[in-house]
Amino acid sequence: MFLQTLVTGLGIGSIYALMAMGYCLVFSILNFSNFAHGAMIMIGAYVGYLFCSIIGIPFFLSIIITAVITGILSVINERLAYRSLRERNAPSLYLIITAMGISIMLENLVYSTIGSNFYAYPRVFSKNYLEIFSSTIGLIDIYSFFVSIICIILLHLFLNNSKIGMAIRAGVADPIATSLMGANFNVLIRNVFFLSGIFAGISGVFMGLRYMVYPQMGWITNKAYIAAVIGGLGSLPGAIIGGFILGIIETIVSVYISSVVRDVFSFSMLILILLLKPLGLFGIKYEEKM
Amino acid sequence: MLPLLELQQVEKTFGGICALSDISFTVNKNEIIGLIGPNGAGKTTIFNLVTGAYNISSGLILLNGKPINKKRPDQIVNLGVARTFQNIRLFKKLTVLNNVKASLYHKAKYNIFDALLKTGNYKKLEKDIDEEARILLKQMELDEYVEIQADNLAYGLQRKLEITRALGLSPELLLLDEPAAGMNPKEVINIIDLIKKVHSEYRLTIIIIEHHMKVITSLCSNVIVLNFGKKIAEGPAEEIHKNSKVIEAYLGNSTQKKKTEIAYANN
Amino acid sequence: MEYISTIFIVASINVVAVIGMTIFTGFTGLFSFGHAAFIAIGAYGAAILTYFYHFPFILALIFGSLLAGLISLLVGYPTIKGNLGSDYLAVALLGFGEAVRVILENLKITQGARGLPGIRICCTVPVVIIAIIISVLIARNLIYSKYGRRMVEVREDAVAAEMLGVPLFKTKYFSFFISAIFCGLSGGLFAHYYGFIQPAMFTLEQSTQILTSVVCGGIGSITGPIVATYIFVFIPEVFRFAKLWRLVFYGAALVLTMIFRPSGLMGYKEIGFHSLVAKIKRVE
Repeated sequence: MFLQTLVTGLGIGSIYALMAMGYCLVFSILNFSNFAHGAMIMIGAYVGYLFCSIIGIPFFLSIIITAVITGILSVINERLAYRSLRERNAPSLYLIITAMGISIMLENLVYSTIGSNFYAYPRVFSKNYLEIFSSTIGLIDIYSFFVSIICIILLHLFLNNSKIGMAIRAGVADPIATSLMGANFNVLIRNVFFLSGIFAGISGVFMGLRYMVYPQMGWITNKAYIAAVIGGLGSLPGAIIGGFILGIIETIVSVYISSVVRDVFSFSMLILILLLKPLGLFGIKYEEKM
Repeated sequence: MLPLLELQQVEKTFGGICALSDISFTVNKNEIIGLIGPNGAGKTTIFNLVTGAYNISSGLILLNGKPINKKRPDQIVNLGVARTFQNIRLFKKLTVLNNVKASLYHKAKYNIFDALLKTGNYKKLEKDIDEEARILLKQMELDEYVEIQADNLAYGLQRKLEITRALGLSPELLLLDEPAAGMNPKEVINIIDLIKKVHSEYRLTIIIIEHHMKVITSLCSNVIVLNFGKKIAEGPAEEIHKNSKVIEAYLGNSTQKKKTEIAYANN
Repeated sequence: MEYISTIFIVASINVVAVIGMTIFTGFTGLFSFGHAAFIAIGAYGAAILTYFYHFPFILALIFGSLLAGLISLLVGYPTIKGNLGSDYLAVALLGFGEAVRVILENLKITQGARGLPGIRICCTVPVVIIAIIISVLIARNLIYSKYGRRMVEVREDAVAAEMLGVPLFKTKYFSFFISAIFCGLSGGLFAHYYGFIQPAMFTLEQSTQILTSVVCGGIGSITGPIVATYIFVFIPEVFRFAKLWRLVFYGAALVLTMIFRPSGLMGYKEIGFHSLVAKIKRVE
């Protein structure tokens, strides 16, 4: 029983971690909460459903196509909505409001055009469960766990070894200096949004597979933000660990206490962590240059 | 006499990088102290530590003999420290008058109920503040711009307004961060006169960060020189530019200097 | 006539919450997407008193507002204390909205998801007019006092404000508290107008509507958002077909305002008697 709960928790946590990473990438470089990320995840779930179920492309190929599409959408989002604000140095409040506006618009656009129906992904795996040590373990948990781990490793390698990745890391450390060193800041931001969109797409497909697809699934994506705050805004390892912690604790609470109080519990945990560590587990205080 | 401000072995690190180390100096009442050094030497960091914007990593900062390094910026302000910023930080969307009033509100001792019910006490204190702000603006010869939005002022006037706003806090210690930056020679002379006037009229103690040596030599009794986060020299303004370490900090060491001279000669 | 008064009351109930949000977002420059939760708390707080304990309406309203204010203090403390950007608070409030809904659905006294039917209906046109007048007066007196001016200074430049002796935490915390009080009052009126409340009524949609009114009405203005609220309630009533697309429109309005006219309808200005007279004279 406990092993089963733990694996489910890791499975859900890994999706949260994926979602949180995309959100955190943008936060770490632009220092604002991109609340449109949730809508991107929702779109990812729909696009994944389109390819996987209606067109009938193999599951893992659908994930890749979806990731590219949400990546491009995320770049378009930045280009149309955020760039002009960034270029005139608008306060971050304006960016947050814009992001929330995008999120509301996209969510309700889906609602008014596609409708509020729930769509379920087709059976992707030949078996749904595995029997290990007399516990039943969901295959989807194992798959999402391993896909997340692979994504995290790939991101780590990308940020540390590729030219684009190093430019992103430099941009996070000091945006002004990086642009002075010749890195084109707009290109850098575009790459960050593309990466963030890729993560939104992948996590969206897994979300859809687990919970079905519907317009208000953006609500569940709030977990991405909560996980990132628990880990400490702006810290990638924080986002990953925050995601796993949130997933595991939520699962334990719903199995051993009640699934009803799950969201209350995760909220209380958020408040508790901020009380003890105001910056989250791994947050870094940004000291403004004067 | 007790010094107004005293720094004892102050150290500041940013994530392992040492921005300031072993900084000690004292500032006596009514003095004007100059803080000079190449860019990135840690001058503004000292201001940020004294005003509480950053926390010090180790050491002690005393104001009137009492430690202030554990206090919040707004508490330190109330102990009598005011500052200006290297890149002017006025409230751009507010009028000149409201910018100055912002620094006077700490004197308004009315509570929320006075404000909501507009009691006599509230009205009197608000009126006092309005008058005081206008008087201050008049003294600083800014009274013709009272209702203008701050970001519409000319650059030089913005600097002046920022100093006026700092004076509104009735500080004992005023920290000026490059008050003459970006000014032409005539404006530099004006700002020197202004600082002199402010210094004598408000009986202030002032620390100035500045690159214009003219400002430093005509105002400061004592100069502290920083380089790479360390204090390399301290002394009267007339003597400090003869100090070999200071010359080295600004111009490179003598062998380098010779090389540049040779290079010049060859050209 | 009755139709118009219905729309008027619905809009006016929103206006009370919008005044609260304009203090928080418009004047202090902080962001929240969970204020519907405070409306819910105010609604339940007030309704429970009149429904189960037969309290007078006015006392119940005050209790509901204070309850919302009290809870805002509990939620605000850990998230504002860190003195960071408003992102921590914004995210915490997203979680808070959901948590409040779940709690309301599972408490005995709120009768769970079924809600409270048959609440005494006390909220009439005169009541909302009085509520709006009081709210506007409180907001105006607050904004022109040192408390309000400090909020504006924090919005304009938090670092400079702190260096002028503005206590950042207290100012933000107080602004949050006041905004929750107004939302609580709005909730109390809401419950006693519809006569029926259930947790599902207090959703993201409500938070969206309030925020859109504040932003499109104009940051740093009280009258702008009030006008915007009436417009936003009347338009979908006139164009019925627009109902389905209403939220799409709200989202787009937020984005377009920020990009093309960030000061909104009336940014940093008020519609006052004097300015109206001046405008009319200029036209003549």
